[in-house]
Amino acid sequence: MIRTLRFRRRLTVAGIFFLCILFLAFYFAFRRAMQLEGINQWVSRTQEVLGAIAQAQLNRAWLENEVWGYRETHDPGFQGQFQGDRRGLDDAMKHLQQLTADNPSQQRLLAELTPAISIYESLLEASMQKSALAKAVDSGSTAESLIDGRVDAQIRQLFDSLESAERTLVASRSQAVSVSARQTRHVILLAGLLSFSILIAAGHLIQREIMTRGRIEDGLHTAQELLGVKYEEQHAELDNVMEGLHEQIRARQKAEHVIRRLNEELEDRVRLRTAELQEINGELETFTYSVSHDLRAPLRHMEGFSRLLQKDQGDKLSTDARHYLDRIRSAATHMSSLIEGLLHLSRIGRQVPERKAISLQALAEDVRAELTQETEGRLIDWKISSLPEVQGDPVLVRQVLFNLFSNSVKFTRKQGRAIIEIGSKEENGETVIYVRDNGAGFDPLYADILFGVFQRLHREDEFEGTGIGLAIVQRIIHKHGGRVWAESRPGHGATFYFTLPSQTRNARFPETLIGVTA
Amino acid sequence: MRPQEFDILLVEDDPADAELTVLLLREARLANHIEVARDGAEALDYLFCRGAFASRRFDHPPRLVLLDLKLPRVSGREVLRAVKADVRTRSIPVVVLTSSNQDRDLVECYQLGVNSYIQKPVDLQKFQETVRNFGLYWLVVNHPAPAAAFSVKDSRRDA
Repeated sequence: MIRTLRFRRRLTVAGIFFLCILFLAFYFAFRRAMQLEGINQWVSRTQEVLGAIAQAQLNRAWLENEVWGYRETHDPGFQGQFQGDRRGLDDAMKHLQQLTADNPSQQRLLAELTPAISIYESLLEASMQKSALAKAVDSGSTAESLIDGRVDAQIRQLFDSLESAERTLVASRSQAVSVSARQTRHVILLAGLLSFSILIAAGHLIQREIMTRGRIEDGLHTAQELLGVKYEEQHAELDNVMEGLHEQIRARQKAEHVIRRLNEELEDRVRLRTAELQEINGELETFTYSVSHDLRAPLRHMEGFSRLLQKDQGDKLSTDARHYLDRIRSAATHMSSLIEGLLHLSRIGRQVPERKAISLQALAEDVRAELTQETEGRLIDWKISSLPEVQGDPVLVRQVLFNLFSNSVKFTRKQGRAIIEIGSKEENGETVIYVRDNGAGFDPLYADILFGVFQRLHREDEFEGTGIGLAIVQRIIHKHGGRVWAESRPGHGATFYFTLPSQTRNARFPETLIGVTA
Repeated sequence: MRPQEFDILLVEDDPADAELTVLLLREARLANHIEVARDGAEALDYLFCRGAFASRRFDHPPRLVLLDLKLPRVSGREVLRAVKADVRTRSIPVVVLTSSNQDRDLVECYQLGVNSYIQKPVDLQKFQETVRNFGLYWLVVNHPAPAAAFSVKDSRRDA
């Protein structure tokens, strides 16, 4: 860009320079030509002047001749010719006068010459008239001169002066013409040379520019080619990348297809499982319904009729018979409790726990109050320390506390002074609630089966029970997303621990299968 | 057969249960007149005065219906539904007396308009107490609906 600008500037400068020189040369040549024309005019004027001088001298010679002719012949024809040539001489003189009007020195000469010519003519005329008279008298004295010799000499001298002055003028003017022509030649030559060099310079400049441009073009071309190659390379690379991409897309599509198929399979399986579960659930419902309705009736009959028998016929029965009836009745009652517990457990299993903020403190006090009747006459030291708020289902959590407290009450029965304590502690960022007693305790070997349904670690004649209470505790805690465990040593009491999501933590309750499908 | 003799309709398919219940009711001297229906269909015939009970009249309803839920042919639930759906029988107190304490049963019965729901205890002494309590309440304490409440074919049209 800058280069092109510089080139253009240079070219413009050269062009202007070139035009200036051409104009100057032209102007100079024109002026010279004009000068030359003036000089030529001058030269031709001089030639004219010389011609007029010659004419005048010729007329003078003719006049003398006619005078001589008349003198000899007296032919009057000469007199007529004389008068004509005399007018011719006068005309020539007038012509000369006109031609040299701008030349004072010649005018001065003419001023001298004109009266001399007039005198000369008058003398010649007088000579002719004298000869006419003499014809009658003497026809012979031919040898004497026609006019006074001085006049003739003066005229000749004046004419010579005129002529030589004009010739000098011609010479000097011719000289000027040749000088001017030479100068013009030089100027034209110089202008030509200058123009030529400018042209050469411009040509050189243009050529150089062309070469530069050619080089640039070549460079551009090369660059273009290079670019082309690069483009090809990049295109190829892009093709590769695209191919890779396509492959990835294909792979992804394939993977998606597989995933979709797997999902479909999974969905099918889920549907199947759900259907199975629903079926099982339905069966379970029917089962519990049946248990609830049908299994209890026979027990009621056993209990009822054996009691009626005892009442009505008691005095007729032996001690053994009455004892057997007791056995039947207590068996029926026990089985009824078992069924009750099972149904309770199953009901809790189906329940989706609510989620509320619960004050454990208030709940514990409440449950203890509920147990007052059961613990009447017993010495129990309740220790309820400050308990936190937890998130959970108030009814179910109450059930947990009730079962654990009942357990403690039951297993401390043989202690003179029972201690039942409930408290909480922070452990690994979670709140652990514990219920501790100084009761019978259990063998830690069996701690794992403690929470199983119908699992009992004590003999019925030591501590009665169904083996459902702790199973219910565990189910409730698990439903809340918590954990439950126990520690004990036989004779050293037992401690039951459980965790519940605290108020600040947002643990989700695990939804049970039944809860989901119901 | 004098209609007013039957103070209680006991709907119970289990003969042992029926015997026990009747025994306890009599023991409590609460009902001398107990009609026992062995299934739901029979109970409906009785309550709607049709079939074997066509001679019965709507304006002499039983003072109390003790209804078991699990019954052959027509379930106790259906009997309850029919009784509570009909304006002629709606005012009869129906007490469900059953072994079950399932939530499902409780919810359904109360939604159908049962007057009371009692689970039969296994323990005879408790059963005795229960019978005495509800019998006393429904037959002595509670004021029954007047006869006009049961012969209201016209009021049904007015409603």
